Amino acid sequence: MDSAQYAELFLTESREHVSAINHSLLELERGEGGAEPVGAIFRSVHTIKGMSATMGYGPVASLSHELETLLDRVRQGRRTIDPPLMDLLFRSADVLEGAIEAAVGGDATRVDVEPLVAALKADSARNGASGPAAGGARAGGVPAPSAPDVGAWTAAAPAGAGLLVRVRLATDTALKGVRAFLVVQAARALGEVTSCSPAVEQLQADEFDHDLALRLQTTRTAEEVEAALRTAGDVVEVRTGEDPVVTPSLSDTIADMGDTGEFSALSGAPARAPAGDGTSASGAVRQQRSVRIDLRRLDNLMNLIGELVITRGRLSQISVALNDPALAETVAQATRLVADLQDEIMTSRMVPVWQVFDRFPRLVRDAARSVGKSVDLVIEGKEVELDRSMLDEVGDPIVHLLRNAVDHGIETPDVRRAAGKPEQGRLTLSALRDRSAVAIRVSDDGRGIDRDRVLRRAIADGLVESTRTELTDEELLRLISRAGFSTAETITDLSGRGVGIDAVYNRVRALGGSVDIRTAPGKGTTVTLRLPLTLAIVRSLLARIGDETYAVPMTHVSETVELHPKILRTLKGREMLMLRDEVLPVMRLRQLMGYDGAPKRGLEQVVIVEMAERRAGLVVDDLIGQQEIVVKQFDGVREGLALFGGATILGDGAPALIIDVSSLL
Amino acid sequence: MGSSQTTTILETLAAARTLLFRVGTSTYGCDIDAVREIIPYRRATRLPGAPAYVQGLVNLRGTIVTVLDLGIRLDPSRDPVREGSIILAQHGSRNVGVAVDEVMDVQAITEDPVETGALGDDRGGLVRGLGHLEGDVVALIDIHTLVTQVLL
Repeated sequence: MDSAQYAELFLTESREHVSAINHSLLELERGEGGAEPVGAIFRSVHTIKGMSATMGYGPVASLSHELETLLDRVRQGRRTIDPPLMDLLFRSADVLEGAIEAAVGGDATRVDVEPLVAALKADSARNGASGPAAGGARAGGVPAPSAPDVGAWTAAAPAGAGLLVRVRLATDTALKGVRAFLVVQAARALGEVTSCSPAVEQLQADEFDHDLALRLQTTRTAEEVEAALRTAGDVVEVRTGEDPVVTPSLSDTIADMGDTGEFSALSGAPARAPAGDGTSASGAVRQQRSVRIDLRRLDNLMNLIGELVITRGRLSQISVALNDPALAETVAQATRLVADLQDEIMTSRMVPVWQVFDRFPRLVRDAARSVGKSVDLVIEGKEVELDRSMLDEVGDPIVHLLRNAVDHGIETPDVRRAAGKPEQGRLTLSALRDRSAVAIRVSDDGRGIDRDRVLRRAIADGLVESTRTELTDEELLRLISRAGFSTAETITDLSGRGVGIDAVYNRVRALGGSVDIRTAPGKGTTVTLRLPLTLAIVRSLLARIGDETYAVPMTHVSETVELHPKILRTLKGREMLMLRDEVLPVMRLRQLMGYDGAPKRGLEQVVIVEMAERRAGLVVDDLIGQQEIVVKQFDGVREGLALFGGATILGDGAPALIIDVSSLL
Repeated sequence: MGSSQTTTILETLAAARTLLFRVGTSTYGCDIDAVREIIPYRRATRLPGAPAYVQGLVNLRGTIVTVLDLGIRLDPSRDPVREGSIILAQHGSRNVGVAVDEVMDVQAITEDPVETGALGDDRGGLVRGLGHLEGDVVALIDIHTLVTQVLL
């Protein structure tokens, strides 16, 4: 591994830790979880500090050091938890995140940590000088100091023979290097010190973090060793014996780098609270049978399997033409294997939605605060899995919806009180697996979308007839998803101007998904995004128009019928299709796509497509059949029909366009 | 295959700057650094609704590339290119194919800049300059401008 890979690993792990910190901060703010949140934050900060110091990211290390010092005071009950502290901690989490990104990006100066470091120092000094805040910590919802040995040893366990001895010096020790040297001297009086971490030279140069570890070959008992070492002075803790086994993580392995020069592929992710258990370095060995894989590798695999699927299609065609039983059987076998392989690769790309959802509680809290509202975000279905790239793509639309809900949906506390609702708004974000799709729902209990206002605005803009007095949910969605359509009276920095649901709508559609909206006045709004599990491979119906082939994703196809003249009617100058009890609009793709002339022979075919509650009949020259196709993007041209959701490559190697049903309807 | 042959030409003349090609009776040139590959002409899948200077989409080893007809872009009254070569050019992360009647040569050509907007309208800047070659005038095409003008 080169340093860039270390940096990437550092970034990944640090992000997880920052996410965990934010999570614990919210817990702490709500007064939940007792001592655990502070402990968890402390551990995460401590880990980041260790990693960043090793990587040479000075600003990150110094910021996490000061943060750790402050947290330690909180943990020991010497700093009361109050709103200013929470603000300081939240701000620290933000700056820490920025500093990490900046450091890894090679531009450490972009984020100036100094003002915050000073603020943290000032806070520690102000609140530390007065000694323990009597009982204040408990009153603030923080329990008694944690056990002193909560995994905060920073020195790596040195290799070698002998008893492992860890010594911690008081944090306010003056001349800690001298103290450490005295500790080593005291140990040497008891036997042979075979190794020391950090090295004695470093200790003397103050280059350590208040604790050290050494290996001592001695005949004395642990108690005797401990008593002897304490005589060096300023020793607050001595521990003998091997460290409890914990799952290796970057922080541990990075400390061992000198020995092995390699990271372990195992990764100990930080405490992730869904189960509410936090990480406890209790010594339980968590067997993680997983490896980290570079996302680009997975993308490559996906591309390759896509090519393989195309080749398989071509192979099947050839096999049918040759009509050789032995070949047919082999092709069938290969087809099954390719399908299995495709399944496996798709599964390996699936990640639980919490990987993106975890940052939302913090976001909603900040958004609500900035507009003077109180909002409780409930997340459901965290474990539902989605393709990694799909999840990345859908993050922004969800942020948009959440902000919209906080900004426009949920009312201010006094309005809510007057309406007989709890002052705190409730926002629910849920993910639900549904056949081959995932539904992501953002639901608020706010005022709902004001249909009358949308209607008035739509009439004023000439979008609907002025005689209309009501709008259906469908029409409402279509109106508010028009670019620039906004009824917001006040424009805030959150939702911006007129950029709302239209951005969400376009993005989700581009991903092959659909948007649905339900709103009730005074009760709230629910927006549902329905997304395919993966971006890459979709089952499609291939149709022919002229001498070209088009693909229609099967997710939108309900059936196909022959275009018999007797099922066609013309109503008010428009062609309509009579399908059983239904009357459906007809879209002739031949005309729509600008093909000249008429289809050569026989009856044309109609593909009945549907999207939400809209249905229509697409007339094509002929149907070819169903096939799995690999969706590929291409650079569209500025002028041109926005009817295509990418293209695919057919068995004969020619590109074919994929019709985006949602933009047709 | 023609493409491997042309690739060799490209390698030999990598030091030179301008790729010369013919569309109809006119000779054009473009910066060789923007050219990734030259492939034999192939029919493109039509992109409905697109202007006449867009030939459509071709498959280049699994990547879908939009092919433009430079002649029609410059002069809508021309006939479309139906044989010859497709010059694959790269602009940032985007690829574009330019259909031409014939790829001729790679030469170092000194250029005289032309006034921007010499072509008027929205095609301004497409011809970056004029070069001289054995008494002929060669219009030098700016591929990057072409890509940003035409592609989304």
